[in-house]
Amino acid sequence: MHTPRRYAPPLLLEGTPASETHRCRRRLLGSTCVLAAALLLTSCASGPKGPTVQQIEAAQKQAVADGIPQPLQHMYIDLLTDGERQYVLNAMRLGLAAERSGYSDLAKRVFDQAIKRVASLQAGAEQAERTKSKFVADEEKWFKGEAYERSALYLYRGILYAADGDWGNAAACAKRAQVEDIASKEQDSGDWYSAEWLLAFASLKQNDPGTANDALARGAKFPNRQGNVLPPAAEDNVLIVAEAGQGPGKVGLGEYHEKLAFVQGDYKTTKLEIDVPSQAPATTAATDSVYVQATTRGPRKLDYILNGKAEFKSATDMAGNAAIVAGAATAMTSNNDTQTIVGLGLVAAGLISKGVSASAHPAADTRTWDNLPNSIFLHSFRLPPGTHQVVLKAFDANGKIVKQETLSVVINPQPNLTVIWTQLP
Amino acid sequence: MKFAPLSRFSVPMLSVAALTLLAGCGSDYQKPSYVDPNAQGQVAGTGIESQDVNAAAMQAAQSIINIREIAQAAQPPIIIITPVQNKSSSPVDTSLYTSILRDTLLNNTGGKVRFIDRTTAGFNQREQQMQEAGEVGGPAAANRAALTYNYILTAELQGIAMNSSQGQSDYFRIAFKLVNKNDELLWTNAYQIKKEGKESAVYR
Repeated sequence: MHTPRRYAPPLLLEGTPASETHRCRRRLLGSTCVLAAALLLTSCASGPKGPTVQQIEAAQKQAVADGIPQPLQHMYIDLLTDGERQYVLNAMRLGLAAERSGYSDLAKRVFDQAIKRVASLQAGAEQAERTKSKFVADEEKWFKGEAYERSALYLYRGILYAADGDWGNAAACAKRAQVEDIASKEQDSGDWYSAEWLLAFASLKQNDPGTANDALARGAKFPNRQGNVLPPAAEDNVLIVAEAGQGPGKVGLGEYHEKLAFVQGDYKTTKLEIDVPSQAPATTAATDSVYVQATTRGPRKLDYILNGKAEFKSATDMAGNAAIVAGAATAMTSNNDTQTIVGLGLVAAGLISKGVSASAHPAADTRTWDNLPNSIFLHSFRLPPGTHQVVLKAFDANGKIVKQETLSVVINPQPNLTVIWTQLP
Repeated sequence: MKFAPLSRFSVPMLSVAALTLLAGCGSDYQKPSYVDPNAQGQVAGTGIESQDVNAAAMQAAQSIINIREIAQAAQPPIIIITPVQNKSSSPVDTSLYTSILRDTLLNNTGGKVRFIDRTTAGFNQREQQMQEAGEVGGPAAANRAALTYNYILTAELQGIAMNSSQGQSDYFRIAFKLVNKNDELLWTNAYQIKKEGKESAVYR
């Protein structure tokens, strides 16, 4: 049986005329809406929450249980507690720190997890769509890195494959590093010399000199080359990975920090000399400047979205200012109640517009893979089994030595590649 | 009607703002669930996945049993499978893919070929030595007669990857080859995959 819907009777205050009651209800509705809007606008604006004390304690125990070395534990705890939004960023930082420190298995594991997420089109897609909203900050999307960070991820993973003698996957990573380096400026797309160098090395190890020659020939034409780099040879069994300086930082420029820009980190080394016993000293330039790779990408699709957000924030702010000024002037100069109320209405509308403006988030995402170097040097050579003293000399742009170190390199009879990591100023 | 400027415009505007914001407040937590390993996963990209290797191996299994050297052989020939070689632009778990390939071929060639697995050869050798030394009991030690193969089956993953501001695509070709002990190429079979996709504009 159909039951007629029952409506609540109109709220009538005792002794109050109906028209006045109607106005009161409108005021109440308006106030409620303003309050609701304020609550809603602030509800999402607070951004992601940090982990709880219990989560951090559990992660600390997990880090110990998983055998994570003490110096890397804080990064591992971040990885476990920051969630998917920060996972790739934390994995990049931890993976690189682990790779440098010789914890290759940990580096491989977290880099592979990062690659899985970066390669997935659907991972974080929902959050990515959200951040297109003018009221959601760009940094709320799941971090997948800028093109140069993704390329570096594959490059560092490729070096790990090379160390394992998995030259097929090392070459695949080198190729993928170039694929990730998309740029709106065609001449800057896929121009990582390090990737071509690694591809050449991997190809030589797979008895494919044709691919190796093609890779080095492509690299020779890159406009961003840092200087002369010595090519790898098929028989090389030592790889030096030297990293100089501090990698690029991200900043938001513009009135609302909506324009992503990069700040070059400190660095001194521009040339590296490698002195190997019974071999002529070898001098090489950096295979890549990470800063140059970060800054030669050109405009992104995202830039148009952030510009739109900034324009919206500016327009609503200006409209709010105009309404408040006009409303206040109307109310102050009015000589009747109607004009006063219209003026106050304009002030209220202006305040709402200002509130909407304040809730817009056009700022660019400046989360950064911050333990990348400014420049990367790759150099390979051959040593017979035994212990050898290898001297590295780092030179600045004026030819002055900024660091010299002697490395004791142990070469085992096995034909594996020995990878030596070193940090330069 | 004196509050018209506020009530007429603010309520719809605020409602839209509220809905927009509420829609954006969802949690990103997703309860783990079982999925079909042969189905495309929720986190798929344009890269090669296990189901692609499975399909390629299935096609190869159906083809390889029809070649003369196998179909007309008096005894099922013995094949050794070499590890998958990756020549694509995507790092892959070649060990896993070799296992998928071996399992699919083994279970879908109807006994018309036999396969050698050398991964346990060292274990068998040690056992033989221990038996000969009298360190382990059981049946009397017999001479270990490890099989040799008639053919080598290789699998190579090739690929081209493209990426631009308009989207990305990956083309893969899984090429199988059967070679005899005289290096003669007897059979090839290729399985092609091409995937295209586009990431959210906020990542481009």
